[in-house]
Order: sequence, then structure tokens, then C-alpha cells
Amino acid sequence: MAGRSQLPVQIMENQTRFDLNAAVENWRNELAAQPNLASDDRRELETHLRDAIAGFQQRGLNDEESFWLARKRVGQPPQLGEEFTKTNPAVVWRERIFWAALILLAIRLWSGISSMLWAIFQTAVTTPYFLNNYHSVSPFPDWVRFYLPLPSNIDLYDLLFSPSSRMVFNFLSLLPVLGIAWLLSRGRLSKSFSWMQFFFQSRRRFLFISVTLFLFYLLLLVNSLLRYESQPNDPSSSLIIVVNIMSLLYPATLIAVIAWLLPPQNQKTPKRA
Amino acid sequence: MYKTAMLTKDLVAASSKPLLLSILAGGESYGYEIIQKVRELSGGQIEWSDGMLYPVLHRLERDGLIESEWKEADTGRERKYYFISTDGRKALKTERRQWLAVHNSLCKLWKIKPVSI
Repeated sequence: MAGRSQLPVQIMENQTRFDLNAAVENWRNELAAQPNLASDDRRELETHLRDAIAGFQQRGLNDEESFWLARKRVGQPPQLGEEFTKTNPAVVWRERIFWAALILLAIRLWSGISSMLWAIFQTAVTTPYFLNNYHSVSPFPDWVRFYLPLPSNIDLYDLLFSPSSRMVFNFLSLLPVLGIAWLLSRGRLSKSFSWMQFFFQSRRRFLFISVTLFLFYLLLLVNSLLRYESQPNDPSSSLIIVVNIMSLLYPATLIAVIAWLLPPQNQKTPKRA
Repeated sequence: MYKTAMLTKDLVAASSKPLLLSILAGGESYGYEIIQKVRELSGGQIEWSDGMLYPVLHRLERDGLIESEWKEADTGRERKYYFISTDGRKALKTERRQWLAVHNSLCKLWKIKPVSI
């Protein structure tokens, strides 16, 4: 008798295995799609949902019933977004500007790093060819070079150093930054990027780290600029200095904007959910 | 704004401030606990919809009457706790006077024994 009554229950459980974590994850994504909810609000609502689910579970409801009841209690995501904006639209805009400034700064940093990598790549690829020309030492035997689809030295040089390949490279190097930004905004990757919270936990810490890095970069820049200055007859040297210093204004402004939007005291920043 | 069983919408909206301040004057709390408490206190007559509580809390916070902090509960989960500020206590005193003034006027009209302020 007991064996017979257990059977249908087992079948039902197997058919509708409800994954609570996946359901909460879906709910979170639905909430993240609301443009009016700041991430702190979303996190708060999620803790509420989890508390409500736990409350129903304690009363003996199963995972699925608890989830749906809790979800109903908390309210529909679009409605929530509307109510939250009514009380404080400024918070949402602060967050948007914060993220925009952060992404612009990341793009600026990455474009600096990537152009350095590009320069290294250029020299690494072209150097063996020049060595080959000057010293007539080939990296490969002649018969290998005959079959390899390598362009001639001059072609490759032109290709790598042409402005159009530079533009293509600049565009391609932007893609990973934009991709990461998009994934972060969808709530993916939040775990792998949680270490970054360390930098943004307080205004003072962020300013300290970024100003230190900034000064370090300035030192490198001044050092390289001094070399220009050692050629006193070059009329463009002062212009180069001015242009380089001006180009620093952009990241400096972004750092100031981000610092301004950060909480002043050391308080826990919302997890990117 | 609120789903209510007995109270009108306007009355629930007006009473949310003194209720929240009074609950927080008794100690820090978080959204879910506050709603449970209100439900318990009113015997189910005041039913706040869960998601709508937060805009009210955030407005009180912006007005400087309460403060908030993310803290880890003993279960290991983090929750946003709210606690009353000095300004909040002052505001609560004013609210108390006003609500009791209304209450006592009604009591006199209805010939019920009033409460001392």
C-alpha cells in the first residue's frame, strides 16, 4: 500500500523538478530589465523575495509554491520600477552616469594598453623580416618560405603600419570592453568581477588608487617627453607636450565624476546583480 | 499604493510614516520583518504590499528620518537594515502629538475615554 502511494508522487516530482535557484535567477533578470530600478533597490527586493520564500517554506509549502506566492507578494517588476522612480529619480540617473563614466574610463585605459600591445606586435612580426633582409639569415629554409602564404616583406610592413589596419585594430580592440560591459549589465559575470568592488567601496580608496596610478603614468609621460625636449631645434616639441597633457584631462575628468558619485564613507557597495 | 483590507488608501499612506518610525524606534529592522510586524500588530487589518514598502522607506531615508546599512544576518544572508535617526525621533514625537490630537477629538465626539498625551 505504502509502495503504491509513493509511486505517483515520485513521478510528479520527476516531471516538475522545480529549480528554485534558477527561478530566482530568472526573476532577478526580469527585475534587471527594469530601467528605473537602481542596483541597490534590486538587491533589497531580492533579499525580500528570499525572506518571503523562506517564510512560506517554513509553513510547509514546497519550493515552487513558495516562490510563486513570494513573487506575487513582492509585486510585478514593471510596477515596482514605476513606484521606485516616483520616489527618487535622481538615484537612477546617478547610477547611469556612474556606469557611463566607468565604461568610458575602461575604454580609455584599454585603448592605451591595446595600442601598446599593437606596437609590440608590429615590431615582433616585422623584425625577423628586417633581420632577414639585412643579414640574409632566414627564419625558415627557402623551400619552406616558398610554400608559406607569407606576403613579401614590404607588403606586410605596409599592411601592418597602414592607417586602415590601425583603425580595424582599434575597432576590434573595443569589442571585448563593450562585450564585458554588456554582460555585466545583464547580471552575468557579476561573480567573476566581484573583486572589483574593492576599488569602489569608498571614495577615498578609489581616489587614492586612481590618483596613484595617474601620477605614475604622468611620471612615465614626463620622462618620455623630456626626451623630445632634448632636441631643442624641433618646433613641434612644445606642441607635443601640450597635446599629451591635454589628453590626460579626459581620464582625469572621468575619475573625478566617478569619485563624486561614489558613497563618501566606507560602506558596502551593492553587488552588481 | 497599498492593498488594504480595512483601511482606506489615504489612511494607510498617512499612517505609514508614524508606524514605520515607531517600529524602528523599537530597534533596527528590515523590510520583510517590518511588514510581518505591521500585519501582526493590526491583526491583518493593515496589509502593506511588499514591494511598495521600500519607496516609503527610501523617502524617509532621504528626508533623514531613518538610516540604512547592509548587514549580514546570523543566517549568513545580507539584508538592508533600517534604523531611526535623531531627526526621526523628533519627527516621531510630532507625529505622536498630532495623531493623538486627532484620536482624542474623535474620542470626545464618540464619548470614549481619551488617552493622555
